[in-house]
Amino acid sequence: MTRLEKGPGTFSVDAASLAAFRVGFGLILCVGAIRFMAEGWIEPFFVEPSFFFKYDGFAWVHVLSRGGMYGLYSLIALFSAMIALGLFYRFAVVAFTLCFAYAQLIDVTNYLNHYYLVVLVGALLAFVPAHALWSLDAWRKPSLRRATVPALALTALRFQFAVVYFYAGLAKLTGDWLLHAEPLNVWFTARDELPLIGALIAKPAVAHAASWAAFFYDSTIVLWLSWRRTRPFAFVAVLCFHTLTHVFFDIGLFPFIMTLGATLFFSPSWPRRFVRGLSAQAVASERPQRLVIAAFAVYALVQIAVPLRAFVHGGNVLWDEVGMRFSWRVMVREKNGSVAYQVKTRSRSFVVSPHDYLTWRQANEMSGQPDLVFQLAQHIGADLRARGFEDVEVRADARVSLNGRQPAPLLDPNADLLALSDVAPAILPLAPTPPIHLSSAR
Amino acid sequence: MFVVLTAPALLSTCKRGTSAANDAFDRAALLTSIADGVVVPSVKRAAEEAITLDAAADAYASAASARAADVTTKRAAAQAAWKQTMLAWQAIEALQVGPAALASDSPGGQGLREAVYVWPVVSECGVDTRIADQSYAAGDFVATAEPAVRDLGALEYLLFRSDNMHACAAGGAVASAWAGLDAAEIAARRAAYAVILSEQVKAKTQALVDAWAAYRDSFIGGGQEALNQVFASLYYIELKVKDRKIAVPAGLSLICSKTSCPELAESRWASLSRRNVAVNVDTFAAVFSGGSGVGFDDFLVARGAGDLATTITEKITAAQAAIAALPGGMDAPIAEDVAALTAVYTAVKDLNDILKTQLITALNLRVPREGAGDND
Repeated sequence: MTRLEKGPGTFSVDAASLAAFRVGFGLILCVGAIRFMAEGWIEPFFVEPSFFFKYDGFAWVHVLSRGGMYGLYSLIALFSAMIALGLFYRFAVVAFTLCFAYAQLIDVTNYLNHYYLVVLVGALLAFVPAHALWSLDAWRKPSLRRATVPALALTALRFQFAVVYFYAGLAKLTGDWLLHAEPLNVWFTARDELPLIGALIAKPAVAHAASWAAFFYDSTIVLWLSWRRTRPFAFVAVLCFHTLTHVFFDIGLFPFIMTLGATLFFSPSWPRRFVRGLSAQAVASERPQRLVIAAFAVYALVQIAVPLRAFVHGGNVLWDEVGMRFSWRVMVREKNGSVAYQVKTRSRSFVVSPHDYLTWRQANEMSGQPDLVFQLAQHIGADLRARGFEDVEVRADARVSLNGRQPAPLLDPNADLLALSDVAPAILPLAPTPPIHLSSAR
Repeated sequence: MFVVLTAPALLSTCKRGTSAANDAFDRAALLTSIADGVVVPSVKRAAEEAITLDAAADAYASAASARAADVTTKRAAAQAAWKQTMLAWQAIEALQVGPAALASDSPGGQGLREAVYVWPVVSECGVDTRIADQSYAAGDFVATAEPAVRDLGALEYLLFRSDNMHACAAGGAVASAWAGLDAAEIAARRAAYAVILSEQVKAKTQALVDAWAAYRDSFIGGGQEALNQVFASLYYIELKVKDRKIAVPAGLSLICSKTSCPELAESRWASLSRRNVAVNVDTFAAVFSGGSGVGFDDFLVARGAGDLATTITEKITAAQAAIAALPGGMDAPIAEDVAALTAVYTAVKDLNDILKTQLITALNLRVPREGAGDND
């Protein structure tokens, strides 16, 4: 490792890697926001729904008007571009993170792991001098220019991506994934029409191989990326893996963000192989303040602990979804449900369809998530009371298939959800049955 | 690593010299069965019945206008023709893909279903308003009137309402105009109005035949996306059959504010509600089995999910049996026995649940109306 790479002190590293990450992150999110608007997704995600599922503690987050949502996504695109350019970086990255988080907090059915990752990375970048190099800020204010940055800045981002990979691997340590190759087998057999590789991927053996490969990839890739001798091969694996996930699944920005994240594990000077000039002075950095170290330690502990809550709860997280969100369980289940609400009032009984309150996309997302089924039950109860019905009771007939199993009741159909403060007591366990076993067509 | 682990399987496939096209399930065969075995015969039959309906309505209108002695016979013939047209149309209702669907809902969509039938939107007072002011006779009536006063449902009301009452509020303009009409004049106006609508139904069903002739090949070649369109259309069994045609008359829906609502049943004037539901479920069965051709059941068997195919077939049979078991026969009002109708509701729900949970998973189907978006 060169002196610049490591920095003039043991607590600093070359700023190049961080600067490259900043540029890539800003570009990806800028394109992502523009794509979101260009695809016309503002309407189905934010304009068409009349009801939005709230996150605990964030019920105050409300959807904006149609114009407001376009404005919000335009700001996300603008702030992303400013991050990439390193223009008013600190303001831009804070504003971007707040705007992006606000958009994601509007409706739980919009939750995606990589959106959560973007918020976390945005928050980390707000504390990191990623504009010290190759930025308009450094150009217009030379005093900002640095060839090195605190090593903790790079460590924090590396840690964040390592957490994602580690827990994504741990999430695959299940019988469904490793023994039955589900849900990959379901997804792969449906792609048998693909030219050249269709016949191959439809074979169960391929789904099994891919399941184990994905497990080993997620579980160990950080190790291979961190070791200089294996790094080139590991990065090829990163490219292959994320290219395949991009081709086979509609997972949007995720492959691009994770591929970019892999570069953080390179030598901090790696961009200098490709970018010359714009040199800056290496500065000795001091040992990080204890407060900074403590803050990062707290952050790290939270990031380690939050995905573990499913293990504390016990049960099958893919079924009961307790601890599913914010735990990096990426693409590990195929879950489909059918929900109808049985309503009883003082005067009569009737059935309410989720489609009376939700868009098709929301109804589909809700159907396998007990807390969302519960949340809509509360809303239906409140709506009916407001319409003059008395003694309202709402029960959910929720039948769900996990990885192609026979549909089973997700919630106790006799439980009045309005009488509960939390859905947990109403969740029924999943019987220990194997998932569906599919084969290729012939 | 992924590449390394999957390479042996890749090589073994290459050695056999097979291709994806050879091993893939033949979706085109399934879509051909649906197109040639279900959709096209249904639209052709609807068009043929519509021709008969138009001729019968014309004869009825002539008799009513002349106040001829055989007007009752002519009316009965028109009613019978309407029933046949509606039953043919119910197969199209249950499978709204291609030209019948809205352009926003399906590739090849031309909105022709909306041009013929818009139930559950109904406007009986709207029809009576046109009778009162005779605006149905205007040259641009069909082009400008709202769909509910010019569709098959309006035509049913015109042909089957036998009393001299109207559906509008007492004391209004229609009520006062109506007071000046005698029974023969009301019948003559209803018949004249019916002819205009039957011409429209005939023209639009023929347009649907022509549109399917043009669209068929692209439908058959549509692959998984076309299958997704077909699958999405099968949700008719939930959204319209279960939640509207059954739940509302049975008083199981909030739309009905009483213990039962027979007045909100589809085709209630013609007492065709039960047969409509039966045709809807039969069409679902035909799509699933592919008739004598390749169906979704074959697709499941090819996927190694033969048990699921059997389960779905059993649930279809159970739903058909529950409909057939409704007391009073198929021509009775659908809500005559609410308990029996609730049993039909349960049977259809069982079928719908397996559609939305296991079938969608096993064949990795998607509902296009859920919209695009990212995953992870």
